[in-house]
Amino acid sequence: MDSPRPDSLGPNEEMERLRSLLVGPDIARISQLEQSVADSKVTSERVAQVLPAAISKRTQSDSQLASALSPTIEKTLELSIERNPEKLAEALSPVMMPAIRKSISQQIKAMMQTLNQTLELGLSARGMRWRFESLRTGRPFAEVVMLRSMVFRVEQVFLVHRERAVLLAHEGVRDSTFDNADLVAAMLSAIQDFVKDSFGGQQDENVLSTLEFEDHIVWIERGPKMVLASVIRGSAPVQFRSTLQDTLNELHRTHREDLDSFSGDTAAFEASAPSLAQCCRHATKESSSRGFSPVLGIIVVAVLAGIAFWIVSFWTHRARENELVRLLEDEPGIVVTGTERTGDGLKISGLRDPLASDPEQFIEVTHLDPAEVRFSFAAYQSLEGALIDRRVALLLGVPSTITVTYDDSGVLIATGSATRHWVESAGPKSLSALGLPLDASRVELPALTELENAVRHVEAVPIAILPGVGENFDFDETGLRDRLEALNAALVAESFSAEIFIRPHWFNSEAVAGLAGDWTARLQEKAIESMGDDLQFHFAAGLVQRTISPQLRIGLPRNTTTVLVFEVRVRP
Amino acid sequence: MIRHKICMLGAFAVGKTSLVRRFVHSIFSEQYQTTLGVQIEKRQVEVNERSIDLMLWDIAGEDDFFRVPESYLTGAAGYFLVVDGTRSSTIEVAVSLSERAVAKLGDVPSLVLANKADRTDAWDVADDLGFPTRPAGELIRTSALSGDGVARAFDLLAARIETSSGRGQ
Repeated sequence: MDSPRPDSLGPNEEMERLRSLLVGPDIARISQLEQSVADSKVTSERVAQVLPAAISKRTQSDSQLASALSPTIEKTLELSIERNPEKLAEALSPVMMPAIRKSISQQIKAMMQTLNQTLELGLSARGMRWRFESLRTGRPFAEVVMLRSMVFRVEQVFLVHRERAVLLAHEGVRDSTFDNADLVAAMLSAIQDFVKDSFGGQQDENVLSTLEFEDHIVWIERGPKMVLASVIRGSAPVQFRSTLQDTLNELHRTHREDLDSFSGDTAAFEASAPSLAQCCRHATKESSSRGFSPVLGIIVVAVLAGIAFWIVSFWTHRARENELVRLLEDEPGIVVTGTERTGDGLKISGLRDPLASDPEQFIEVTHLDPAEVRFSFAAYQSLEGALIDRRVALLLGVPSTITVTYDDSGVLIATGSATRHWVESAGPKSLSALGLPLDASRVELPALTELENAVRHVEAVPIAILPGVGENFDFDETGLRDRLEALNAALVAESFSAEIFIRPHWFNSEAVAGLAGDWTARLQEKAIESMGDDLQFHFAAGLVQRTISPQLRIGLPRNTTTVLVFEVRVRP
Repeated sequence: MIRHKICMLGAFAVGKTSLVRRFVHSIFSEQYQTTLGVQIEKRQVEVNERSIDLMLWDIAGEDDFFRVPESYLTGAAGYFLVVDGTRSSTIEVAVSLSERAVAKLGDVPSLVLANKADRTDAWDVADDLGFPTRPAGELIRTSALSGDGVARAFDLLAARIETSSGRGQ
């Protein structure tokens, strides 16, 4: 600054001079300051000097700065990602990659387990049952499977401060194994440290996450500041790890401040007990079907089915055999006296009327194997009604117009209508073949014709021949001529002819032996002699043997040696 | 409940395990058993009428063949540096461990214990051990055999930890 000359000074100038003398240095400083304030470069240098301290101070006192900055920071990040996303990705990758890797590996594990389960379940009965339960309850199938299939129990849960290795909270069954949760928690941390030192280096993901001993597993989930270790008995699903991780994350959120200011006091973490207890409740009931292999199931079912089939076949067979015996016993003419089961089948013994039904037919009816049944029947004659009927029909040649019934008193009763010839022959046949008298008195007989009357008259009268009178017996005396005449007249009337057979009954066969032929000739001779040549009958040569009935003998002279009976056979 | 992790550091066979056993179980065994890795014990102490669980990490002694893994120190609220008064060589190990502990844990309470005080006849070290203790010159003579100074040492460390965590007097 130039010093002013005294001669050129006005009042203003003097004032100026005075001012410069008094506050000159200050004015210079002020102008300097003004200059520096106006100069943005200088300002920014100064702000740069104080900014970190200022931000730190303000952040400590309240959060206004953070809220003021957050839109800017968000915008900045957005712009940065837009311009060069790789840079941010590079910066984040050390943080993100382990988390992503962990997440993916956990997902793959879960998927594998799910796949295994799906394959195992397939269309099994258990699977179907669970699907039905899922439908019924509206729960997702996966949840039902998790609930029913996994047999595990969470026995202990430890929440441990990761850095300080002290137990923050603990839930679970208190038993001798886990007497001192503090020590367990500390030891878990020590083991983690050991693993990390020995194998894992400093990488955070290389830590112990599972311990196994006997049937227990310890699953260890790590968060930024806390570790959640759960002692599980049995096989827990991989999904349960997610449950643990979620719980841990939640606890990190709720205890963020407690963790930041943690200095050994675990009181604040008592509030985490419900979350830990929730983890402990993740257990499933022991499933009774667990461990029951499907192959074993099939075998058991097959064996049971086999036994059931055998029992059913056995009883069916027995029932058929019993049915056969019952049918045989019910059958008229068969009497079962015993059954015997031998190695090659059933032997049935008893009595059988030859006219009874064939027992073989019942084997077919009862579906038994004919090779397995043997009959041993002795023959007998049954007096059962059905058998007598059969026998009567067979032996007596009963015509369709006649019904023969068996009376309980032991007499056969014939009803209906029949020829005289049948009625007359049936009685003796019945008696001789069946041993039963036949009552034919109720049989309606056709009216006798002239010819039949004549035949009956000839046949009805036997001629007794006394000793010594044989050759001289009187044709007329016996009335034979009249009867023969009547017969001849009837034959003529009907244009029939007849043969008359002689049936002698020999009382003294020696006396008249060899005379039979003579008798026939003599009778024919006598007939022509008294009745003429025109005869429609002739005495047949030869004799017909016939047993005379006892009734016929009654009333004959005592010394009768021979009785002649005639049998007339009429022919058109 | 307040819980603190406390590490026992020191050279091989200085008596760390014996001190812990004396403190926790009130027993002493003449039989020497080397510690493998780490053993953990717990003992409750009272500080300002509050119960405190001390989780005692008895870490295997350091020697030429075993270096204490620093991860075992992580999160310790305090630690003891144990030296054997009858073996001056154990001081060097303690100094080395002390440096590493400070580097790992920062300014956490610690105490230097001069063990085997019952064998002063065989004492081999200077009274102040020539050890850079904090506070300077402070050390406690202990005897795991007789129990002298043991409880006092643990109580003192617990109290200092409580003070440093803002709950002291």
